[in-house]
Amino acid sequence: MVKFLVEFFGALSLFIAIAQLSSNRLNLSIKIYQLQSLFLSISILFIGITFNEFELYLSAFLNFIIKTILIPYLLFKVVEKMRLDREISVYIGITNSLLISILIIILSFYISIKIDISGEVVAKQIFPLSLGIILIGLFTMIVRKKALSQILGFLTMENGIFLAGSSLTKGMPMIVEIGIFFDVFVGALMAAIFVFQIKTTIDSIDTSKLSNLRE
Amino acid sequence: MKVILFLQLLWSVLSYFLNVRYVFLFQIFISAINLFIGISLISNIKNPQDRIFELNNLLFLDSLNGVLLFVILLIAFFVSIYSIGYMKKEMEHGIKEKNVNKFYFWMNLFIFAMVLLTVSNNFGILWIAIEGTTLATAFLISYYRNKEAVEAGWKYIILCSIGIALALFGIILLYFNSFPLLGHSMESLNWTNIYDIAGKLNPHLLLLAFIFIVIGFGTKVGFAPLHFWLPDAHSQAPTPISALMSGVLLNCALYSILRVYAILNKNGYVLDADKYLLFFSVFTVFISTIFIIRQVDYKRLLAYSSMEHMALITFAFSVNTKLSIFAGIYHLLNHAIVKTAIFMSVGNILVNTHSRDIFSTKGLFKSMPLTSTALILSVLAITGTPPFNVFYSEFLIFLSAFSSNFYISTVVLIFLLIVIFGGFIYHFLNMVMGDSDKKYKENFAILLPIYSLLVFALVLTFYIPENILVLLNNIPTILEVK
Repeated sequence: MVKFLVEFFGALSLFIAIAQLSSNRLNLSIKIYQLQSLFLSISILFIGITFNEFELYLSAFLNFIIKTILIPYLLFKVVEKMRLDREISVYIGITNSLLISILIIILSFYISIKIDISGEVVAKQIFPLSLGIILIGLFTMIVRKKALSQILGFLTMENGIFLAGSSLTKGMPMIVEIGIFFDVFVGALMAAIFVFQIKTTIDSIDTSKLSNLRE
Repeated sequence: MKVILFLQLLWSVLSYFLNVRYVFLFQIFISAINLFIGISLISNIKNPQDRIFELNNLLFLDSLNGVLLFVILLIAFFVSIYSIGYMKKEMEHGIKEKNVNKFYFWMNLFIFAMVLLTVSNNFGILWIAIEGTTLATAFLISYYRNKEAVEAGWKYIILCSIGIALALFGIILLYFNSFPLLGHSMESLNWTNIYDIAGKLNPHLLLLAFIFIVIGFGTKVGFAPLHFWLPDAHSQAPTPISALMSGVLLNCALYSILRVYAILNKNGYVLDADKYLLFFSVFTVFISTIFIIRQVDYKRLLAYSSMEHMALITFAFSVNTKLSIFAGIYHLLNHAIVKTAIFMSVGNILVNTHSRDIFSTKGLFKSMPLTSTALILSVLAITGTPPFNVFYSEFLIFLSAFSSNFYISTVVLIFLLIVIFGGFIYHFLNMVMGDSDKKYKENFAILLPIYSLLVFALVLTFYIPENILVLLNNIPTILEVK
């Protein structure tokens, strides 16, 4: 039962990563990210219940605090403070990128067939799901022009990695996990400051306008 | 090791609050103490099996990271001396004292993260530290707050974060591979533990982890299709930081790959891992050659040259014989020293002329003779001209590659290096020759580290200090080369 729930929430996270690719508003994207982090925390919580390990409870809690509350709050503040244009601009249209996302998911399942997963694993299907989330997050970063959407793509990717980490290996050791949370949080904070710097230097957060450094 | 880490962390916080005059003074003092402690630590290591553990096995030192620790602390020491002259010049040109404090804060934090990366035994902590280096340098790259600097900083933080995230996935796969054997604890992420049981790991999963780690940390090393942040970041950062990044940071990232490579070598069932390194190294040298010959910005040119040298070191590791690995690590040491010297000399030119354009800079021999002499000497050194150490290590790398039948790639690389030599000589002679009516004052604090590094580079050709030589000889055994 728990195995089913873990896989279910993992699949929902993948679904939401695809939804992230199709969102056309900055605010909506941040909300989607919030929802994905919530599902990730629930999924980690269920794994924690299975093994009854304190570290996983803590990880789920930290995930909830940092990724569903702190980082989205920070990003909403950035959007509000700088009166950003809420439209999203893309290199590849939403329809086409959704079609490409299908290919990405097929690819990630294809890669995972070749690896025989042994040992105590909660849910085997999590591996292709998390690989899919990582690659879709990467793809989101590539197709979006705005700095803030790129940060969201990175955070999506990072969620996929956390999903893999917690369900394949019962979570990384606690010190490492806390360190990773800290790094991700500081990284998001610094990226937000960079968005501010970009806005003040070129008066827009469209990164396609950052094109002075070319060969 | 924990003394160095503690001192460095404490000093980075203090350097934010102290008056700039004291910061200048203490910066040299602290980095000298660290260098001294580092040298006394690595001289304890004699055999390949020697490992010094600290803090509950979280930190350790063996021959491989001993060399890297020495390089970091040595370069940090010289850069500290240099940064004083550089920052004084910048303050004359109107940089605020608060910003100088910020510069030293981030720089010391950067050095701290690199030392932590080097001495950490645990892959998790290594990952945290390498992400720490990204975060610590991001604001240093956008230090001058103009359009280009912000662009470079943004590219840097985004591209390196992606790369490092992929590497984290690789580390998770490694942990997934090791924890059924070692149990669910901090211990199963420790390099020493994974290395000891390497023979029992699943080779397919190990290869997948290695691919993610090569691509991930390879972004930070500057392997060719992933290098786009590198020339921007190196050209926009203040010069002391460019020197640290070129000389040390790239080596640190390569070191992280080598640790995993050692596990693969010891496992013995993973085939073709060296092919990935071979591909990246030859392709990177090719790309950097193209951009070196048509470059108009001299700091970017040096950034591409760093890529080329990192690729040569990687090539030595892909050849994977005893001699080639010795030569690779020797080249790492040589490149760090010479590249720091050359960055320091162009930094002195930049801080006076405020132009990075090669073709608008003329007559440097007239306007600053001592700096241009250092520049030409270090150009000769970096391109591998005989009396200097880089020639010797490159020679050893190619010799080892030839003797293990890497004919085609060796010939291609030698040809590309000749083209790079031509590009360097053409561009830099253009800068120093010609006439100029300007006369700049040359600062002693800036010239001293450059010339001492050049002397050091010359000495290393003929004589490697006994402590370092022992470490270099141990490294092939650690990497389990047949």
